[in-house]
Amino acid sequence: MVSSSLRLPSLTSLLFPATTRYPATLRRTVCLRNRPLSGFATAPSGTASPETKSSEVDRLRSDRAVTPRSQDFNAWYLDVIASAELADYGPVRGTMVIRPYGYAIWEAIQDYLNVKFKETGHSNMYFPQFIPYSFIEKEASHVEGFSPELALVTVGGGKELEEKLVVRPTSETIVNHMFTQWIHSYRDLPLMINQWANVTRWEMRTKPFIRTLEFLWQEGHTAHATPEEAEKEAKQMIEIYTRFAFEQTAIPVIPGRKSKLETFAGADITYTIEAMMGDRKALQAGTSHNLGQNFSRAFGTQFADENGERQHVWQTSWAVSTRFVGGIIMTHGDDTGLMLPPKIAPIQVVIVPIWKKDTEKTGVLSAASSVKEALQTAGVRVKLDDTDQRTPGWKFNFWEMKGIPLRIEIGPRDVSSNSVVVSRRDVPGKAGKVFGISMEPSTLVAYVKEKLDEIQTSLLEKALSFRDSNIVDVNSYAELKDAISSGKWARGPWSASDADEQRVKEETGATIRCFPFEQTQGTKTCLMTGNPAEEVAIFAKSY
Amino acid sequence: MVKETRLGITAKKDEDFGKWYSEACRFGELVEYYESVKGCYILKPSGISDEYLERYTNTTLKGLLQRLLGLQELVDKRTQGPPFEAACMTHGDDKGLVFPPKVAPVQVVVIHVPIKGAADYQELCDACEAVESTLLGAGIRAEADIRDNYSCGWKYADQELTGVPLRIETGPRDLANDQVRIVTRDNGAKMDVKRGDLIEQVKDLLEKIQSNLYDVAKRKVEECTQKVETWDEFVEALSQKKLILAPWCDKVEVEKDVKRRTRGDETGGGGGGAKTLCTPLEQPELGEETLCFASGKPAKKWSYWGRSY
Repeated sequence: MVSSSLRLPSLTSLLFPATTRYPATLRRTVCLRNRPLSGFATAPSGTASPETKSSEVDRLRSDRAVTPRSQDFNAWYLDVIASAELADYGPVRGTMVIRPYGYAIWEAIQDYLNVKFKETGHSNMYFPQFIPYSFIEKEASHVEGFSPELALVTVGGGKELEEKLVVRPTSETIVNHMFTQWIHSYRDLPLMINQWANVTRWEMRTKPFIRTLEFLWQEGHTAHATPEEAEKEAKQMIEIYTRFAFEQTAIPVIPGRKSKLETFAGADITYTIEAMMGDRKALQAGTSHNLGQNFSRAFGTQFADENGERQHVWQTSWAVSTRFVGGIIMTHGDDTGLMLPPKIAPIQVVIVPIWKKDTEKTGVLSAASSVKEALQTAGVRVKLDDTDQRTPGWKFNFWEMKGIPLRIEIGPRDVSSNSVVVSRRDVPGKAGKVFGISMEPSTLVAYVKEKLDEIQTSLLEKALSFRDSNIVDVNSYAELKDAISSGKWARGPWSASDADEQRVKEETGATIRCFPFEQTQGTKTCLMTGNPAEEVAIFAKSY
Repeated sequence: MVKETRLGITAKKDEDFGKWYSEACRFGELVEYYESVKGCYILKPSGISDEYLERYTNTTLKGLLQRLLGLQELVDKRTQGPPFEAACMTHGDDKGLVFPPKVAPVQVVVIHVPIKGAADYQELCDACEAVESTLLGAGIRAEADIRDNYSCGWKYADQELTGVPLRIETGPRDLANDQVRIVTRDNGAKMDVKRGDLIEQVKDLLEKIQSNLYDVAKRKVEECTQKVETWDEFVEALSQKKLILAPWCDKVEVEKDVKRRTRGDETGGGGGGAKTLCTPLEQPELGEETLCFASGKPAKKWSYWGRSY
């Protein structure tokens, strides 16, 4: 039969062959042109017949819905998001619609962090997204840092507003406005809150999940009586983010301190977790700011200390956003599509029943339902794909593309031997497939849970190995340039000036990602100036 | 400006419902006014229990916010209020909020009652925190209030204002007798409970409060609802601020006419006219000869009516 599946080549490969280097002016808009064609980016339709033929499976597999990463990483990224149905473009340039499957990943992030925030004494609350422009102007570096990205409301109810309103780019200003009304005494401290909200920043260069006009995030805000307490809080939160990244998303981030140049506008110190993406660019995955007294002085956020003296509070703010979803995609995805760590996968196991004759169907489906029930009861997030509108081969490709960690196959022979076949998403082909796993509930549950743990561990190990093999220790600017130009991260001693840091950025495209908390011992010499350096910095190109 | 003592709500629920509601939300620390942008409010921690909201009221945080932005309108549409606000409006009293235990962010507050200057002050604090730990360990949302800059009386009023279902008091005598005193928010009942029976008693009381609040609210709704069949009965019920169930002919022009006729003078009440609120899915029996209370034409169904703005 003639295959009904056709796919046009990606626009990228037509307009910008892989060997072509994009002109600088076009590079900024490449992500917009790379939008996958709807209808073609999704998996092709299969026949209604449940019969499976090996040649058809091969044909399905040869229909690439996803551009290979080595060919065009950005096109790959956009293809995965479209094919796995994570997100789509909104009608306003730079906006994103998060689809149910993509949103479920964000919910997994929220579920974990909410517990951690409350365990460490924070409460959730909500601030309005409209902020008087005068608030932004109160903190000098804040207004300087954010002005280019503000969205303003100048008309309301059909009338020109007396004062223009800013659509929330972050909430330090409005938080301080309210804190001045709630904090009066040291007894009111510490005040520890978190807000789950949307944020708007008018970006010129956008990319789904990574950088969008509007995105979702959490922003924590705390006020303390002492600088030591504020510093402890800022460190605590970056530690929570670090653990989350390693333990839940299997992303081996590097926690550290930002350089002065890269510090958040209005903060004294910014701590960060930096993640290496599949194309070896750095992603700032989460930040925690020690704000000192910068905002409390600007807003007059004061308290009476134990001696009755008026003091300004010491503050922190910290955030992770839907950018983390993009980080997960780019860290673990492969040329087949998405690959999700079991701990945050909305669906951990997919069951595909296989039958050829109608007489086999009932038995197979019954067994599949029993398996689903057993796993679900044991707390495994499982889906049974029993539709007869698709072939098993189609289903295999579809759920692999969606990144489901484990697939269970049940056919007539499995039913008669009371067993199932289990395939791992992270180990392709026959190597990842195990036959004859008992269908007996407690045995199967134990096996599945063990495999999910193995996959989680394996993904972290692979990411760690990838990260470490792509970081070069350098001792001179020449070595740094070599490392960056070969696409790697450079790690070297640094004590040079802001101007030197700016020069590195202009000449290599790399920025200081952080000064890692984990530092080597021994004397160091600045790779740029030759002067003594106390710490090592990490340089990389970034998103 | 003189800072409010925040020790009590000044409005009576039955006399000035709108003001009472605003005070209950603000003093109960559910929202804070945001005078810089009219119509915007700050949701404070007590006002958000995401998982409980979703589980018990089918309201998401976003949905709650959207409703709160229409706060003033909500205040006056009692029968149309979303479930969470209904919890405040339905169960509050003149002392403040009364939270149903199942959605209360804090279900039990533990307060120590020291004798001034007594040597057992620290012992009482420790006992308070031990009670808190015991309850938390049993899955009860408990909080010890051992702040030393507020009097017991202030803390009692604060607990009542914020609607915490149960208050546990522990004083020197309680300590000596290995017991605590429990006070329920909904009816002020007091009882002494042995520490060993604490978890069981607290769980039992929370169940009772939940059930009692429901019964009281249900009875109140029933008492405030009136079935009428004539215009005169309708007008009388409206002036008594009843929720009215009336048969009518289901014509748009008739509904408009009712609204016009009940606006201002004719009914003696201020504000907007009456309109349909909803048509209950469970319809009372409609006799073939039943006439529309407003138009006199044959009635087609029963609907709830009330005043609106």
